[in-house]
Amino acid sequence: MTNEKHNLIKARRAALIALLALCLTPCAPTRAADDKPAADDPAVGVKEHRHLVKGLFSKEREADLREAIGRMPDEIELVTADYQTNEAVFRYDQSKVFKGAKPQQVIEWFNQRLQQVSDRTFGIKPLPELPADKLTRVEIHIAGLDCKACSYGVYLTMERVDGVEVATASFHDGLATALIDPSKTDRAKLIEALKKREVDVKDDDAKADADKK
Amino acid sequence: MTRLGYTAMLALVLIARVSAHAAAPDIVNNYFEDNCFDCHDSKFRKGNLDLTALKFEPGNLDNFARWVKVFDRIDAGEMPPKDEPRPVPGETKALQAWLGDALRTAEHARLGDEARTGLRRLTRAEYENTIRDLFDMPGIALAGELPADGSAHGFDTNADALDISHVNLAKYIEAADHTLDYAIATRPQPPAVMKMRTALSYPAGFVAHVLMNGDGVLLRDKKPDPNFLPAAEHKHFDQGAHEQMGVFRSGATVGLFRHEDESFFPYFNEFVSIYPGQYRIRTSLWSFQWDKGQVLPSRGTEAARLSIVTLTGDGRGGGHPSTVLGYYDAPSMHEQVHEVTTWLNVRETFGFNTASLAPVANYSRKGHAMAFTGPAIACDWFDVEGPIHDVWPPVSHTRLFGDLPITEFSRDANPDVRPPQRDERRQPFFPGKNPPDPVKGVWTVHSDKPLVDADRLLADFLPRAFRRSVSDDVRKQYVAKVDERLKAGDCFETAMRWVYRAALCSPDFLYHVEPAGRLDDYALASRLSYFLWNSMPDDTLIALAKSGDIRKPGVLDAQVERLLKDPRSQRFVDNFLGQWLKLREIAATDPDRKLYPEFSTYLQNSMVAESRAYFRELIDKDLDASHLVRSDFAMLNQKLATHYGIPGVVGSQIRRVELPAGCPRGPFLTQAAILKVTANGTTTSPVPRGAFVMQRLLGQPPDPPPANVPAVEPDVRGAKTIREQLDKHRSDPTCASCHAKIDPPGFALESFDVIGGQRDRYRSIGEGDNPQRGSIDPFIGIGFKLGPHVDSSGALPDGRKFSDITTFQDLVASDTHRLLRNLASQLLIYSTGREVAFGDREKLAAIVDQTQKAGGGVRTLVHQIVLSDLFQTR
Amino acid sequence: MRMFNRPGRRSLSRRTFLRGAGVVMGLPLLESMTTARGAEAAASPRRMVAIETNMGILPQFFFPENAGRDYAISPYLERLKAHRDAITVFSGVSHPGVTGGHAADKCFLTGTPHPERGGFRNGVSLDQFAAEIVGNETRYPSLTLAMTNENRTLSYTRSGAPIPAESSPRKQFERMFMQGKPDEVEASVEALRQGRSMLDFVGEQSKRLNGELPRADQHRLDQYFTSVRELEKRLHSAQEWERRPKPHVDARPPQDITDPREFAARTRLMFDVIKLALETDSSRIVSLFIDTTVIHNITHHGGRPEVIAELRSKEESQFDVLNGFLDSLTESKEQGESLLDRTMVLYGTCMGSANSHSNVNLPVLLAGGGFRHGQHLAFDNDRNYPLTNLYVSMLQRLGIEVDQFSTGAGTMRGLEMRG
Repeated sequence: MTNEKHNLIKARRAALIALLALCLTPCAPTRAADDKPAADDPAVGVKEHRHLVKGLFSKEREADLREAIGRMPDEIELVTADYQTNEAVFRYDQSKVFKGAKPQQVIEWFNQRLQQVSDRTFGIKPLPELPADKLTRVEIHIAGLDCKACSYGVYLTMERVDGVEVATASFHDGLATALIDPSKTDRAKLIEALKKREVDVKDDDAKADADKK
Repeated sequence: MTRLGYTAMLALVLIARVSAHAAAPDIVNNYFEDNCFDCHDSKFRKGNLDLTALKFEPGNLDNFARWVKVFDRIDAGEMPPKDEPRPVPGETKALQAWLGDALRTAEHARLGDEARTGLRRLTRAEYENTIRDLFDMPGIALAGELPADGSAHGFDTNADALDISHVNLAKYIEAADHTLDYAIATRPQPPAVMKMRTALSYPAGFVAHVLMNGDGVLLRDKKPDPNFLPAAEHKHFDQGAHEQMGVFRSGATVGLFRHEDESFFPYFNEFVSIYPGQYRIRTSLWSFQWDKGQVLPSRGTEAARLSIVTLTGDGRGGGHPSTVLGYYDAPSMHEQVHEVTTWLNVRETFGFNTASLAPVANYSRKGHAMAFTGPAIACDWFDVEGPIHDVWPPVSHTRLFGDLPITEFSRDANPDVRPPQRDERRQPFFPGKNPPDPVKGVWTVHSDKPLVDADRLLADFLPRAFRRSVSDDVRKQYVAKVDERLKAGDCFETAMRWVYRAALCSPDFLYHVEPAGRLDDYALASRLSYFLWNSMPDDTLIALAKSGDIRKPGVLDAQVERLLKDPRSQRFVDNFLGQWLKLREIAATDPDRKLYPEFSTYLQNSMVAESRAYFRELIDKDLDASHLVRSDFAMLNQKLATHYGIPGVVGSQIRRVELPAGCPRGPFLTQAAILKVTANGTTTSPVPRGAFVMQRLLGQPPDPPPANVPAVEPDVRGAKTIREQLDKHRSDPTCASCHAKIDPPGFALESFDVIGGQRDRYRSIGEGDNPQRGSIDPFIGIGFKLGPHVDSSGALPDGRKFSDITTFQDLVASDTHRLLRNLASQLLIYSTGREVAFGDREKLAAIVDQTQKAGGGVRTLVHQIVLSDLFQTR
Repeated sequence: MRMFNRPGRRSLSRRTFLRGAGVVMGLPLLESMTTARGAEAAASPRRMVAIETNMGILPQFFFPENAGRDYAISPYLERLKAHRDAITVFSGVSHPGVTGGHAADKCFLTGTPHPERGGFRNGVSLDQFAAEIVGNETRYPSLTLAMTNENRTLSYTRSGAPIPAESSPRKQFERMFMQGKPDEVEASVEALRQGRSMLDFVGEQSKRLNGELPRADQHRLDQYFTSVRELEKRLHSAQEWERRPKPHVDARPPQDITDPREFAARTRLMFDVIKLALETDSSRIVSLFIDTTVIHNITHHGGRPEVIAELRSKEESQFDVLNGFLDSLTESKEQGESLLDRTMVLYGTCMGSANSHSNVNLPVLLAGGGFRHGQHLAFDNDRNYPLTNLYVSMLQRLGIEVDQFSTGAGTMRGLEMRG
């Protein structure tokens, strides 16, 4: 990823976060409608929303996500999905699709509906609290069957570790990555979690992390 | 003495009514003095027999038996021995005539005119079959809960084998409750028919787990499923993740390498029955050869086993009790769809096994499935549909309540009446996904005139259940009980249930009620149906009894034909053979794993199927008794044919195979099942096998060994053959007197090992040569060696020699009369529930003669037995 | 290889079961009914546990070489050495006339000769005979138990009908200690009442039928009628017991072990339940059939040393389990005596050598119960002494006044009571 693009993403993300923060401040739906002009209210009208997607752990999962969204009865469109950041952008009218939901409930409702159509292999999470530059990127080389479900298993193992915000896994590529909160966990702990479940980890623990920012 | 003198003595003695003379009468003593005392006196006591001390007290059972033995040995010409001087001509005949009469008279005095067949209750199997037929619930399971029956004279149909204790009674009460729970309809419409397609790979089963490890693979279009690669250098990771991803529910075919074992039980447990009834299953099976990732044509048709599994406890895990439903062909690279309709009880599911494959394990193999080359059985899908009810309410219900309407019970309308008890039907076990079809409210039969209806219903049910007409008085007693229960606040269903339970526990139901002497028509109908169907007579037979037509000329013969042609006659085959040839004990021993690594449950089940099919064939084609020991055909499937070394038989189903000349296989004598039940799982011995042949095929049970003879400890290290160890049997004349008869069939059968395979050398664990693999599956490790050579030659007591099993078979087969006579005797003991008495021998001989005259076939024999006095008399 | 459905749970379950087992609230003795035999009998109840293992015990490792009190301990008896003074081991004993190899296993407690013959009818077993007389003093007249997956049992009624045994320790535990809820109790009582009423009815039917039958049949139908009466009595007794609360034990129900090859572990579980039953006076008469059919293969060792070694190891573990049982009975005290002092434990087999199926020179021992033990009572190996004489001694120890039982015509020579 180029620095420029990354900065753009960062900026966009920051803006969205700010926007979301505003939206999420407690306010009655009716009041929101009264207080904010409709055009500016992100909850009203078909708008783009960025969420963190659980289960978006490899490139091929981007198409799976598109299919799953298509299966939902709600009017939600997938604009883009990026497995490396576990993020996707959706377009929907929050006031219609999640009518009656308090702002902090939207993600949970979306999560439940998406889980239902995807056998719980996809879900929606809030974006990480920490900004991207505060998260550490971790890379682990792994070997195993070139099997989507096996990769999913690795993803689940990592995602369950406290401090892991974003994770990817692909035996096809032989690589598992994660964005972690360095105050909560580290690369060694992730490798330990994988080894405990008998994943074939190819990296030597003593190797230095490839910290990328 | 002159002939006249003898006759006079005979008359005198008979007139004097010999019953309890202490000393043997003169006619006997004189004969003994002339021909027997030299060896059998108090000094020499040859064969441990001192005839001088043998009193004549035939009223005493033991004494009677000894005199019968004396009679028999003289009759057979065995005594005096051939090398001794012959008795005076006519002396023997006169003695036998006198002795026979005396014994018959004594026996008659002892037994009197009374019923010879003791009053007996239904055996376990008869009880279960009777309930099944009475209520049209062909699979309800009852026999297992009842205490085991005993055995008398080889069969459980004898009154001496059929005691009853308070425990039996308690179990009968439970069984009756269980039956009524299943039989009574508790809803106006049947439960909805459920249709489900499931797969072996259903995650809560066990196969998903082994697929992860490469003990099986998923296929699409006969190629590995790209969504689930075969386990290779790595196994699959995280079964839960795969389940979530739907890998195991994708409709892919499951190809299984691994055989069932102590920790692997393939179940189709996505379906677990909630309602008892008929279910239709369909499945598509084929086989292939797997070669490190490639799907290729297999070595031939494989066989898969389906079973019905009764889930116990919380339904988890494996190893639940199960019964085999059948074996089904899986042709190479070509799907075969099998359809079966079967009864299920509640909490049952289906089990699967790759029966014809040898055990292999890829979970521990480096490279797992991608390093494996070997056969596999594939299952594309498994459909279950049911419960199927052609009518509602079902027959089980209408037997009890006729066509009384089933209405919703209203507590308001019946304030003083207790509603019937209902247990909610739920999906009891977590893996089962088929839902119940609950009914709202409490539904039960409704009667406007309960006592009138009760009388009417009981008038139909009681005679049917009791297999004979029931007097008005008795029926009124039952109706009076209904009245009592209604007055105590029970609803109609509960009140009727009370009397139905009582009826099923009453002696009228539990016992074969037969008048003394000549059976009445109902008793005859019953005896006939319990003989050939192991169960109660059907409407046709009862009608014939009621009208009195059953004894009209030709009617019984026609009924025998009808009963034999009905599928229920299979119960006769199974029950009779199970006891006569000890097939019930087929699983009593486990063959030693090292010596007989090729043994499998599939082989064992095939063995039993062979014997049953063979008997079926003897009956269907009316073949003669020589077929008990020699045959030009066998009833085989591929598994048996391979085991026996007979080529050209494909598939799991048993079918008739014509044998080449000189092949010993086919008859009971050389069937694997018989060879297994007469061995102990590790070694064979001529003595039990010889005794079996003598007792069960020839009808000459040998005497038990003397008390102070030490038992022989067989040596399986290969140092000595059993024949060498039994040398004393020949060299010691005391032993030889019995063993000259017992051992020869056993020697001939030494040609066969404990699992019925043919051999010229004994297998041993110790010393020996390396064996050829022969027909043993390539995946089975061979750890045994070949020890000493088998010598299956011998000589019959009359001196005729045989060099091997086939020459032995020829000798024995020539004695068709004896074989037929013994078979007749066994069938009589089984069907009449009593042994053949000394006084019955003439009638038995007549049956055998009639049968011989009409060709000597087994089917003819069955007819002759049914027509005989012995069968038609108590 | 990851065993899919074999948790390590089973050893855990036993630990859980034992953890607190034996802590019983309230002495059952204080509640027990005084009997016709007087308060003295009630004050020191005597018990009997009869155990048969059906595939023989290797004689060369069981029998001590010399007789008397100073016998040299044999390898199997070594496993029980802590209880040497509480054990009498016998040799040269068997049941007269009981032959037939495996068929003899149904005669271990009955002694009825010739089980292998056609027309054989067994007789009443020792435990049932005793239960008829002393059984009504406890909630359960006797417990018939088995470690088996088939319908096997040691116990037979008077008319020789086998009494099915309970093979699930868990079910036995629940039966003895789980209190019924009040409405369940009521329902049980009502069901028992209905059961008795039905038995009355069918009893009448059998009288009617009997009248229609020939005379020779009547004794057979009598058996039915006797069964009705017997069941009726039991239902009545059960009805009374239904009202009494069951004893409380501080233990959780054991987890059954279903693998028949784990018979040492399974036996241990069953012994634990038996001990609880004795301690709570739920019953005083217990029979236990240990079915080792699953190792029947190797009992036909054919002289092979490695098979004999394997069999020996399995049998030693069985003796270890027996030792554990004797330990647990010794530790349990009742009025200053140990439970073992008051409980006769009979342990033996019906075959002198399972390899050859011989039924003479049976390996048998008797522990506890109040006898002068600590000896090897050796009889004649060529002309065996009747084991049924031991049974007469055991019945007398229970306070039952008999001087014969089955083929036993007197008490066992050399075995004296103590206390």
